[in-house]
Amino acid sequence: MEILKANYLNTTTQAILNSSTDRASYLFDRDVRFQYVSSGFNNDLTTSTIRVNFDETMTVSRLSLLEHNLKEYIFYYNGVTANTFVISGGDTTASSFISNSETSQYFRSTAILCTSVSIDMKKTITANKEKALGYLVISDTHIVLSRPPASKKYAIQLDPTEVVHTLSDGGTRIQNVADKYKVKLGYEYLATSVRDSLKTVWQLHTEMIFCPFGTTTSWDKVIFPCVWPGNFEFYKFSDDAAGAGFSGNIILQETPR
Amino acid sequence: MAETILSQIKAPNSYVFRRVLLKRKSAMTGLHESVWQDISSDVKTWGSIRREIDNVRYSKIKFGDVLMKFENSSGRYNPHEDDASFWFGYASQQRSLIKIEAGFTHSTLSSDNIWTNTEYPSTPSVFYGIISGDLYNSDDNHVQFSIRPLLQVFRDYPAKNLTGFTSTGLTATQFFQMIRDQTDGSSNFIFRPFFGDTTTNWNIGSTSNIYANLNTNNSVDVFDKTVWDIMEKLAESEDKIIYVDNLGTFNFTTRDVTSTVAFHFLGNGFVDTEYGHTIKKVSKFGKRQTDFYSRVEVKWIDSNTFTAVRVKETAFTVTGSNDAWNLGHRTFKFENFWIPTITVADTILDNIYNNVTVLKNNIEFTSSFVPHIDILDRVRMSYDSSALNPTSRWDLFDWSADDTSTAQDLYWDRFRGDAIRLIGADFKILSIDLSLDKFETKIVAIEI
Repeated sequence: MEILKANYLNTTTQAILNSSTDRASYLFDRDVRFQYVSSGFNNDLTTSTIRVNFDETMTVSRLSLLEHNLKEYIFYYNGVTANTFVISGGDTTASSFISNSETSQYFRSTAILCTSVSIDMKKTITANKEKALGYLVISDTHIVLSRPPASKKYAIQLDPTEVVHTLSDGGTRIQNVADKYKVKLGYEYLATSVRDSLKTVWQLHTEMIFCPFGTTTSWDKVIFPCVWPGNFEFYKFSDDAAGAGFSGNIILQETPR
Repeated sequence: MAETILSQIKAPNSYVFRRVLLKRKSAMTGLHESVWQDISSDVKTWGSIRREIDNVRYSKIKFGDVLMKFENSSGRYNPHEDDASFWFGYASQQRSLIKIEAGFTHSTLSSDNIWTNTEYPSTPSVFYGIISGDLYNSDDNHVQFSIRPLLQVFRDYPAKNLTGFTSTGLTATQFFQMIRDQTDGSSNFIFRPFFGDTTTNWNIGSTSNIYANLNTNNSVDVFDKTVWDIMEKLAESEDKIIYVDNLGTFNFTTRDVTSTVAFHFLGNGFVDTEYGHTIKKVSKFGKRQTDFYSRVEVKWIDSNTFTAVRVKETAFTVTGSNDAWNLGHRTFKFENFWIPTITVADTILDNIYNNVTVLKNNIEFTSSFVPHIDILDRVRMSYDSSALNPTSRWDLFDWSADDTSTAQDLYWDRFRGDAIRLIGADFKILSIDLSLDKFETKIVAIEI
């Protein structure tokens, strides 16, 4: 259960693409229906590259690729293909894949200081198709909550913004504007150090990214940019002893597109 | 099945979108930037877009402002002098161009894991305007923009400063062309940049009457007027209308409605596989008695003579079939001293008379989201809440037929309390109010 820094990719000018430059913004648009799709690269012998430049050196330890169709691809930093990331908990230890069949993946890597991250997209799962990627996150952790909350205290939902029309015969028509995640995490018995780390994150009052159960295979694809509205509650004791730890709730709500 | 705008409108569940796009003015050249900037993600409330013609009174155009509220905690919508402002480095926020788009998105995922998104309508613009009016910040972190229709640019320019008048006067067409081609003296167009910076977006109807008073910018009918004042007078005297359509095109044209039906609105009592059921509520239906006049006066010369005041009226008799007796012998007065000849005055008189002496059905209704219709469109209406025929005292189905068929035997209606019966009746749209918050269209239309 991880709270990450805001996506390092957040402007189109950061993305250096060798086709479909008009779709650059879709790389950091959470709505995965809107994908970056290459143009003229529907051949597994051609490589479509996405390079994301940072305007200063950044620490990268988390990468996420949602709704892609890549079979063979590699991601690396500072423009050198040999600079692969060291993936932990995945099916490989280097960020180079030859025969991938997953369409959404969340990678944890050893933290790297770098000024760019590149993805060479070589082959597609169905051969010779344009290379597609729905949402790319490049980030680092704010805090890793090593234990998840109790199931009764973990409430996640997709809230639709919808207009419900009641027509003249009493029928209903729904028109959807967008679906947004909202999550409430309730914790008890947190150590003082965890409470202080959470407070540091809360006090930033800035955009962050929430990913509860990121994996490289069979991922539930839940990752979203969010804000933490409301109070910081973790000064409440969990029991009748000061040393018992602290309780409170974290509420995270998805940001606009 | 192939998706179309109609299939999206009638779909029980669909995705809709709305966007607001902006073009700032360069601090150097004063011209609008070339690329639209999408500021939709900062909108807190979208407001409504309203366009109307001839609704309140014949030939009157009402300017509907769009009031849109933007989140401003970062100061992005502060004045251009503020370095946090999105306008920093550009000219004033006022008269920045605004385009609003709305429609449906249909998304499909292929087996190759590639999404295809198609927008309906393919040109989804519903409004063009400019930021105009006071912009106040508040401590609750929002700024409300007043977005006025593009016609506002004509209100904001004095006619006295126009160049291009000729000593013999101008026709209305020539005047509008003069406006279209007006420059600041250094080859910079004054009005054209607001209309796509092209002559293509000016639909100027042809007229032949020469207005001798449009001969100099010091003319008594020019020097204290705005450009809009003159445009309005010309439109009245030519019996035409001025409006900017949803594509941002300036129109000086007739108020004739086309023979093509732009959309068929269906409500209770009808099933249609092409248009679906879109009527939510009929709030008003009936003959607007206050719009009935049995007598019309057009005063085209500033004197009270038979020649100056042209009159056409229904013959008044005290009989049960005489409208003037039944409804009151009321007079519609119209005054425009720009009308050039008695012939034109009589033509206008005839047009108004034909419009106001026939009691026509008016309808005001609300529908689910229909983004692609515009004022003056012909729309077809079908609504019938019960099998009861409200034009007859008796339900056609209430009597037993003495044959063996039971199809028409004593079926009592599920009477729902209204008695509106419209079966494929054609109407002309006079007013459209599109709520971008509710994705709802409120329409006022008159029967054709």
